[in-house]
Amino acid sequence: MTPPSVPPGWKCPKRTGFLFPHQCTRLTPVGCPDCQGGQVDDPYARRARYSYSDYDTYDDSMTFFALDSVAHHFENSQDFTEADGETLVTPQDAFEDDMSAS
Amino acid sequence: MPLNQQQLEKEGIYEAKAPLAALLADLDQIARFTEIAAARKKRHAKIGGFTMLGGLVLAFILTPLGVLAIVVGLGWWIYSFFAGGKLVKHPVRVGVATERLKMIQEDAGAKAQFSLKLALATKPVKLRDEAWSHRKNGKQEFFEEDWFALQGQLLDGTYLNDDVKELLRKRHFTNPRGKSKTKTRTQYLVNVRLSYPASVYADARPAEKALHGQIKVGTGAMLRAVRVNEKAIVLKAVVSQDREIATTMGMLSVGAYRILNLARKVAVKGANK
Repeated sequence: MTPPSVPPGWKCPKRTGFLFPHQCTRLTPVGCPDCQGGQVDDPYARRARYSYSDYDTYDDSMTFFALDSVAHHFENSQDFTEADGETLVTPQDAFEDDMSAS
Repeated sequence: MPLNQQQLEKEGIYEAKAPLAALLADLDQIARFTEIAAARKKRHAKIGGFTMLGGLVLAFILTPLGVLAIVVGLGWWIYSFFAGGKLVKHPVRVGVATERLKMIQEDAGAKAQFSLKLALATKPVKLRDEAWSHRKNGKQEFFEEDWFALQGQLLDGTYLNDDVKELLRKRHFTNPRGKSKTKTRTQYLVNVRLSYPASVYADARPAEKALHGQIKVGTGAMLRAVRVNEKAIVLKAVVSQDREIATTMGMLSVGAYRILNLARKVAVKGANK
């Protein structure tokens, strides 16, 4: 059977990674061991990580507690922006090729 | 890069700075060298054993020749203990390094340079010796051997720094029957340090407090330290079995990143406020 064709310039929209989420850099889902040919919606969340069954989920209370503690940090610092954290899950194309970043 | 088997057998240290894929290819080559050296060692032991056996039979017919064969066989058998050099002393170490590198490979850039130092066998450094009062003529010695060190930057900008030390304790004493005895115990100290970028994770300390230090390790390991500051997370564990080392490094990294991933989420929410 011929595998489904992938349009030129196609980019995988899925999250992958073992320790932290980042964009999948594969050029085709065909034969991908992470999403199993596009069958798995979120390969990052589905990864087995020893006894950490709740690896990517945090209680609201945890987030609230931590957020409350760092509120002071954000009041006094303008260094961190939303974009800084978001680059992890939607990294720039140049990230992989930038030798200074790796 | 082709490796020199003889040099590895003699020196027992592999050191390189390269992308993970290249380091893994080298480790694969070292694992093959180890297999070859182990097979050679086994072959020498067999030849020595059979020569001694043949000499024993021959000694009944032609005593001088039989004795000569036994001596040669004994020499050959003793030589087999040294054949293979340092490659065969700790074969599990190559497996530990390979497992650790594969574990982090998908979170590292394909071109990212990692420094790896793997000592297949080096002389342990004596830390101290002291009297051991629990037994007659008791004395204990402590040794340390650094055999694994890995440094490099992951895709999120975090610097990973792993190291493994073998800790050896030797106890010498005289038992109630007057015989001298030596007992050894080996443990492994596993350190994982993650120096994270503030631009991505801000400060991880509140996230660590929110998670109440939920770092898990396997049954064969004991968590010794968790230190989190505004720049890094440092985790230490003591492992009693060498086959648990790679798993422990993995569990420590996953535990640390559970803190960092919460820190990142909190940082994003904080920036949105």
